[in-house]
Amino acid sequence: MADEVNLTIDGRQITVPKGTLVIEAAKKLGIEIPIFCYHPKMEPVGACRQCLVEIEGFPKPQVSCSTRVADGMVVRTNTPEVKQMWEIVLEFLLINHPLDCPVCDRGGECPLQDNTFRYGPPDSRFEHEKRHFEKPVALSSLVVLDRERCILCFRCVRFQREIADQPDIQVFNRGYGDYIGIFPGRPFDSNFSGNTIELCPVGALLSSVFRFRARPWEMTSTESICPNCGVGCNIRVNARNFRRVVRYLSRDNPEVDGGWLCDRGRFDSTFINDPERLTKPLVRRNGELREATWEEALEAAVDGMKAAGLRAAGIGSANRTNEQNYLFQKFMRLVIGTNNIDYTMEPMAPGGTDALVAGLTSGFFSGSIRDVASSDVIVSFGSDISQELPVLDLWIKKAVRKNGSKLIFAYPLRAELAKYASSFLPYSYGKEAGFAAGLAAAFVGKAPEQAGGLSGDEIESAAKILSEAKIVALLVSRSVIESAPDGMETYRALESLVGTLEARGARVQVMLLVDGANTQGGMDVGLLPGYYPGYRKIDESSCSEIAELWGAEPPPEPGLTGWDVVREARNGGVLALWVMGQDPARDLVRAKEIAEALGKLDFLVVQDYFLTETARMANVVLPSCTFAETKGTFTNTERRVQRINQAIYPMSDSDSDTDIILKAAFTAGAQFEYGRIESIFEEIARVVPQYGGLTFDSIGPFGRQWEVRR
Amino acid sequence: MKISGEAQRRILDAKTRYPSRSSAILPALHILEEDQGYVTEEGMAEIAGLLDMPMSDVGGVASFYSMFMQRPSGTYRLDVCRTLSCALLGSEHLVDYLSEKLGIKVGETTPDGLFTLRTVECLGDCGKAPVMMAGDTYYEDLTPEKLDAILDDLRRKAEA
Amino acid sequence: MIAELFKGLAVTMKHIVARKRVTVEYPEVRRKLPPRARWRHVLLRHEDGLERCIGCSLCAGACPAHCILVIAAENREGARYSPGERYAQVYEINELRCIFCGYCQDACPVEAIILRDIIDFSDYSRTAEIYTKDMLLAP
Repeated sequence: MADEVNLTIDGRQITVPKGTLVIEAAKKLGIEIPIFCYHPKMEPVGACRQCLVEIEGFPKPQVSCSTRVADGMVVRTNTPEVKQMWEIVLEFLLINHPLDCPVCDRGGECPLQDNTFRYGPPDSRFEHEKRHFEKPVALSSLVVLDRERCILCFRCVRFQREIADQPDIQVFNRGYGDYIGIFPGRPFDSNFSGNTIELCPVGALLSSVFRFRARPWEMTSTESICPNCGVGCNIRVNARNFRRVVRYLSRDNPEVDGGWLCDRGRFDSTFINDPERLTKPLVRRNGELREATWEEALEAAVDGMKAAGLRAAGIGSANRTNEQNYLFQKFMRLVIGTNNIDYTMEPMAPGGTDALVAGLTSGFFSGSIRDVASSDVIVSFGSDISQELPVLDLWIKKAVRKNGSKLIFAYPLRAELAKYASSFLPYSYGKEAGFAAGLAAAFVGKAPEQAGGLSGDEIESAAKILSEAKIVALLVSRSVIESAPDGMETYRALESLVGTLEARGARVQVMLLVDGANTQGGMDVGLLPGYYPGYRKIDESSCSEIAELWGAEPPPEPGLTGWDVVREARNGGVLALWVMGQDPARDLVRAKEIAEALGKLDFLVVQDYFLTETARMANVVLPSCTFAETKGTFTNTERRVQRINQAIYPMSDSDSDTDIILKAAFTAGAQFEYGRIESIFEEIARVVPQYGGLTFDSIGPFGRQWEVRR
Repeated sequence: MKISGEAQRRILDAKTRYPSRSSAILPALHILEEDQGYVTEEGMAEIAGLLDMPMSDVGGVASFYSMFMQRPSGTYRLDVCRTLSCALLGSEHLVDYLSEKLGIKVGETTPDGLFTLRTVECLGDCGKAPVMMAGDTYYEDLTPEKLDAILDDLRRKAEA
Repeated sequence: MIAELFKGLAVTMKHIVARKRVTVEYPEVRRKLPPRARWRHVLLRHEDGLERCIGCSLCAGACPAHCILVIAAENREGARYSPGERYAQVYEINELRCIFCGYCQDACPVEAIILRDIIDFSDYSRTAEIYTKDMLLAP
C-alpha cells in the first residue's frame, strides 16, 4: 500500500505508484496537459513552464512535469485560471519566436504550433523587435540550428547528456541571451545527433539532409526497418509522391530501439533517390557494358551461369530481405545446381560456421536486446558496439549509468565503451579462443598466468565481477566465433563459462551480435554453403527432406564458402559467380585479392543499385530495388523477424531482387511460382523450422523473435 | 597559448576541493583568466581536459558569467558599478568622464593596452558609492579628480 | 389584334435600328472582365526583382484540385532567388486541373501568387498546360 498513491485530478480518482509525476498520472486518465520540455524518456527539468496546474494546498501553480504525486493530492487542470496560465506561458514563449512557420521544416508537425492552436492566445501583444541571432548555424555537417526559433526546452542538451552521453551541445550565455551552442571549433559530433532534431519541439534543430525537402502534409509514412546494422531499428520512411524518400524517422519499438536512431541510419536516406542509381540492365558486349532489355540480360545471365556447370557460385547479401536471400539460394541450388552459396566473402575459420550454427540451433544464443537492461553484469566480447550496432550502445550506456550494471568489455582496441567498463580487456586479435578459455578457467579458480594477450590479473578481475553477478547478458560478436581462428574452441569455452555461471545460480542470456541488417536472416534462410535452409547440415537425410519440401532435389554435397570461391576462382575452380547486393571488390580488408579473383572469372553477374566496383567487372548487371521499394522481412541480431514495407515505386526500370530471381528462374525454365511476397514468406515458414508459424500478419508492426530454448 | 604549469597545478588542486568536478570549473576559469589575461578558447579546452569535463560545459559556464573577459583586455580593467546606489551618486557621469578621458567606449581597450573600461553590476560596497574596481582593488567615493589620480597612479605602476 | 401585331413588330424594328451587340469579336476585340476576375496564376516579384514566393507549399496544401507542385530549396550565396532562406526551385501548376477557386491566393503567406485576368491560355497539348515557374513568374 505504501507504494501506491491516491490522488484526484479534475475530480477523478486515480491510484498510481509512488514517485509518479503528476503529468504522467494525468496522462493515465486521458487528461491532456500541454508540454514542451517534458519527455517521458528523460529526467524532468521544468524549463518551459507550459504544464502548470493548480494543486490544492500550494499557494502557486506547479509544473506538473516535475512534481511528484502525493497521497490525497488534488490537482486541477480544467479551471479558467489554468487555461489562462497556459495561454500566458505560450504568449511568452512566442515573444521571441519568429513565426516563420511557412519556411520552417517543422511547420505542420510542430508542438509549438499545435499547442498555440489549442491553448494559445489568438494574437501577440508584443510590439518590439524580436531577439535576433545569426541563422541558420551549422552545428555539424548534419544538424543545423536556428536559434531564433528555439524556446530553450533543453531537450537536445538533455538527450546528449542523459542518453547519448556525448555532451557536445550546451546552453551558452545567460537569461535573455540564452542560446544552444557548441564549443567553438568543436562540431556537434555525436553518433546520435539526429535524435535531437526529432526531439526538438520547434523548428530550431533541423536536418541538413531533409531541410526544405518536403512539408509534413505532403509526405507518406511507411513503417519499415533501418537496413544499416544488425540492431534493426524500427523506422518510418517518409516519401513524397511515392517517388522520393526524403527522410527516416524513428518508430519506437521498446524491445529494439527504444525510439532512438543513430545518425548512420537516420541520414542514410539519400542513396535511394541517387541519380547514379542503375536504371537499366547492362550486358557486356565487345568488352563494354551496354544497356540491354531485361530479357536479353536475364538470358545472358542464366546462360553464362549454366555454362559454368558445377563451377558456379553465388553470394547473397546481409542487407537483402529474407525473401530475396531465400529465393536466391533456392535459385542457386535448384536452377544453377550448386551449393556454393554464402552471405559474405570473408574468410571463415575452419569449423567457425559450425560453431555458430551449433550455438544458434541449440538455443545457446537465445538472448535479447532487452536483457541488457535487466542484467547486472554485461559482457561484450569482440564487437565495437558503438560503431557496429550504435543503438545497442545506448542500451548498454543506460544500463551502466542508470541501473548501475557492470560492463566487462573485451575488445582489442580502446573503443568508446571501454570508458564505461568496470573491466576492459583488450585481448590480442587472433587470440579470442585463448582469452575465452582463460576467462572460463579463471572463473573456476584456475586463472592462467596469461591468456589472449592479457595478464592473469586482468582476467581474474573480470572473473571476480562475473562471480558476483546474478543476471548476466553475454554479447558475443559473430566474428569471434565464425571468422577468428579456433572459433569452435571459443564457443566451447563460452559454453563452459555459461555452464559454470548457471551452476552457481546466475541467469545468463547470450546474444549473438551480427553486423548486417539481415546477416542473421541470411543464415537462417540458407545462405550457407554447408547448410540447407533452417541450418540443416547438408547430408543425405537433409537433402531428401529439402527435396520433399521443394519438390526438387538440391545438390547433395556441401559447397564452397565465399572465401573458398575467391581462392578457387584464382585457379579456375570457380568459373561463374552471381553476386546479389554486395560489393566484394571494395572489401575493406581484402579488396585486392577479391578483385583479382573476380577478374579471373569467366562470367560474373551482379545485382545491385549502383555500378559498384564489382559491377564494373561484371558481364551482366541487373538493376535492383532498395529496401524502400520492396516488401519483405529482416531478421536482426536478436533474431527478431521484422517487416519492411514498400514506401515508393521502383526507380525507372529497376526491379526487386525477388522479381529478378523469379524472372531468371523463369528464363531458365524452372517452375518458381509465388503470387506475392507473402507467399515466399509462407514457404520460408514451412521450410525453416525457426520461422515455423510466423506469417506476415502475425509478425506485426514490431516483429517477432524466433528462439530455441535450451 | 598553453596554461602555465603553476596555473595547471592550481586548477588540479581546485578539482580536489569540491565534491563534484563541475564545481571546479568556476575557480579554474578564474585561474585561467589570471594566467592568460582573459578566458581563451585553448585555455577552456585545457580546463575541460584537466577536469575531465565536456568542453561545452566549460564554455557554457564561461559565457554565463559575463564578467569573465572573453577577449584580450588591458592591463587594468576599470569596472565601474552602475547599480542603484552608485547610479544615484552619479556613476554614469564617471563612466562618461573616463570614456572621454581615455578616448574609448564602454567595453573597449585603450590603444596602449593599459585600460579596459567596463560597467558592472553591484560591487557590494554601496556605503562608499560610487565605486570602481581596477584589478583587485576597490576605489571608493569616487569623483573625477580621484579618477585622474587613480589613472596616473596606475600608469606609473605599469611603467615601473 | 392588328394593333398587337404592330406593337410586336415595333419591338423588333426598334432592336434592328438601335441595336446593342452582345457578341464580342474575340480575339480582335476583348471583353472587359470584371475587376475581380480569377484566371491564370501569376507569381509576383518584389520591387528589387526577387521572387516573392518562398516555396512553402501552402498553396499546394490548400489546393482542392491538387494541381500545384512545389519543390523548395535553400537560397545560397551567389544564387539568391527570394528574400530569406527558402525559395521554390520547382513551381508547377497544372492549369487543366485548376478550378480557379483562388484558395492558393488565400493561403499564400507572402502574397506571391495571384489569379490574374489572363484568360487566353488554351493550347493543343496537355503538357503545355503545365505551367512552370518561368512561365508563371511576372517579368
